[in-house]
Amino acid sequence: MAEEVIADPAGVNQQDDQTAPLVEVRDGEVVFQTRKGIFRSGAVHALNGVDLKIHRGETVALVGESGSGKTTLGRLTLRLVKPTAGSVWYDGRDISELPESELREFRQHAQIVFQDPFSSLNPYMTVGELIEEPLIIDGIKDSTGRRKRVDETLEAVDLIPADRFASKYPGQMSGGQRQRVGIARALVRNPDYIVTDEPVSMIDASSRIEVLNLLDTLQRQRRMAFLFITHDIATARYFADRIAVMYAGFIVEEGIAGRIIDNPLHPYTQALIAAIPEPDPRNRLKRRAVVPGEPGDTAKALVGCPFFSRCPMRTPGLCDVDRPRLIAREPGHFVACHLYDTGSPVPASPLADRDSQSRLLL
Amino acid sequence: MTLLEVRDLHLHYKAGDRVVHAVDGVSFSIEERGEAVGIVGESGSGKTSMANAMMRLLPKNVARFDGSIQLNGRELTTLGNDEFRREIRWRRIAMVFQGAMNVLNPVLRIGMQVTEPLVAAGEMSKSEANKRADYLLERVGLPKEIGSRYAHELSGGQKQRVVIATALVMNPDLLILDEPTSALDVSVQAQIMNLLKDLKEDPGISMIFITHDIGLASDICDRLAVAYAGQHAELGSAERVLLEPHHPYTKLLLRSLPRLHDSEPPQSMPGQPPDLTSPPPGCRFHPRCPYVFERCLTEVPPEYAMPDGGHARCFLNDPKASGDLFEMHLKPQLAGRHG
Repeated sequence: MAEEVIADPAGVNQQDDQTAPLVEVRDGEVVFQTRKGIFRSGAVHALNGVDLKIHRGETVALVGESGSGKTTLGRLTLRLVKPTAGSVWYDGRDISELPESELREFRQHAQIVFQDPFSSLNPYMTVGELIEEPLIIDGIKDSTGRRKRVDETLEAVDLIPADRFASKYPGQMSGGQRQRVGIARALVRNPDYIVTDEPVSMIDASSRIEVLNLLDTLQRQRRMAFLFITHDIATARYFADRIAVMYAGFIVEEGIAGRIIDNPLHPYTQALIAAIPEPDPRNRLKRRAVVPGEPGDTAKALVGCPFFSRCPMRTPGLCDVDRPRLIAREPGHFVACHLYDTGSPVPASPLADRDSQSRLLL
Repeated sequence: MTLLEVRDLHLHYKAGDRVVHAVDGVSFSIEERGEAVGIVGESGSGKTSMANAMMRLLPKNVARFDGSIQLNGRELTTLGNDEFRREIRWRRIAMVFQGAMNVLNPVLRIGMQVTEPLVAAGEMSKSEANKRADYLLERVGLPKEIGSRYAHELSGGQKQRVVIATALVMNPDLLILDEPTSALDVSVQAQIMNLLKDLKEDPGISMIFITHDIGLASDICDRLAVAYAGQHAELGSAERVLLEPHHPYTKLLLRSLPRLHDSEPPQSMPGQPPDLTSPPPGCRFHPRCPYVFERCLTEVPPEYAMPDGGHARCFLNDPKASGDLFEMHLKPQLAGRHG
């Protein structure tokens, strides 16, 4: 199978950066080799030539469906996977090829909060031990100092009184409280960068906002860089400065959160937004505008646009042979779609107009 | 005509020396020919237990199961197990279980799985069953060829369509759907919801739609029941419950959801859902309720009737209370969050 690397010419994808980004992926590609039996093998193109920048004090949301590559991109920024091609930078330093021994130091600054607070915490350790563990691994010998940091961190994540929560086991806590423990484990090392991978998807609706507000407050107070991985674009609007929409291993649209949702340009982003049912009694009276098929098959190395087979706006002969590049359509708003190639007016999409998103049945 | 009428249903489980009050006094009804009632609640609110009670799929540790379930006026709770299995389950009331798409038989062709109950009951020859399978697969928007494939060859959305086809095999009047899209991506979820809307219209299947997602429920449900701690905090038309909620839990739940096209940030709800082995005395929502007053701590609120035929279990709706408490506390602000 041909492996393809698409180069994004320097400058095409650049924002007006005042400062250097803390985290940067340049033309990042990740290909996983898979075995499909004893003799056959295959490759999953999880990421294809992706560029991403995250600045200090900024939250970027990666939004996409399963298999879109959002988790792989998050893991790539932490160097939990190695790039097959392209490079990963942290604080001005190329970490693409760093050996494990040197990554250890980097990982004190860069942390992850996992999706599932029910399975990611050892049930036989107390909350205090769970939060202290990273400090022991870091070789901090002063046990009184370690405990003090555990207590401070528990207070920072609103598990108060700290001494009472420190002696609890995860099984004695609610989902929202356990996720605070997960956050505390990341926070106790005073990181500059945190990846949160679907941090609230396993938590009950009524507790989600509390956990998200907590993350938001911590991020602002400590001016951390945040990568917020989610399938829920509505949540991303409130907890991210910028949104990058991913499809089949590509970033297809990127920009300021509110702009992406109020004025989505890529037909996939439009479809994603049109598919979300918001509480509204009028919903049931109409059919939802849908795109056919299911999210892209990343086993194939695509030639044209990854959304071609499902796109209601496609141009055969163009979109299936020439992969669109991510280009700025307006300041701070990038889209990878041939509809925007020329700058001439774009025909109305059946998915774009909010009022005609659905066909009325009445 | 009323298809299903549930009155004061209780379903408790033994858990060691404690009792889980999973369903604790629930009443609702569903009309014939294509009404969809949503049961919306967080995990542990008792919504799945309620559905299992409808299907009489009860575990061995049941401590209490009583109340009335009538289907077209016929009492189901007094039916013998054999009678229920022969005449009701799958034939009149069918269910799409949560995660069912992941437990399709991996070594049985899809067509066989869809019609297995009919062949097993000796009601159909194999060739008749094949025809029926083709019909059902087409009905749920799948090509006939799918019938000769195996589960692992299908995508998530296709598998969920197969599960729905399987539930339709006996032409049920009532379909219970428990989180039918929770494992699917949002673009595929929308396709499945459109299919369910088709089935609701023609052949006019009535539905109980169980979900934690009140937005998704509004995509198909004519009426909504908001479940909290084993009870229905509120029940009513989708319009009233979503636009003019009369229970503080409903109001707070709606405010906690991030909206796509609304600059108002979502508000968090304090506290946690209660442990159903020891639900709080008085109103079950009182420890989390911003409008709590003395009466809520000790007295259990009754189901105050609403003009739309629904109810709200909250003293703010007591017509005998002094002053209009609903007006003071719950009435939506002008140009609320809707639209």
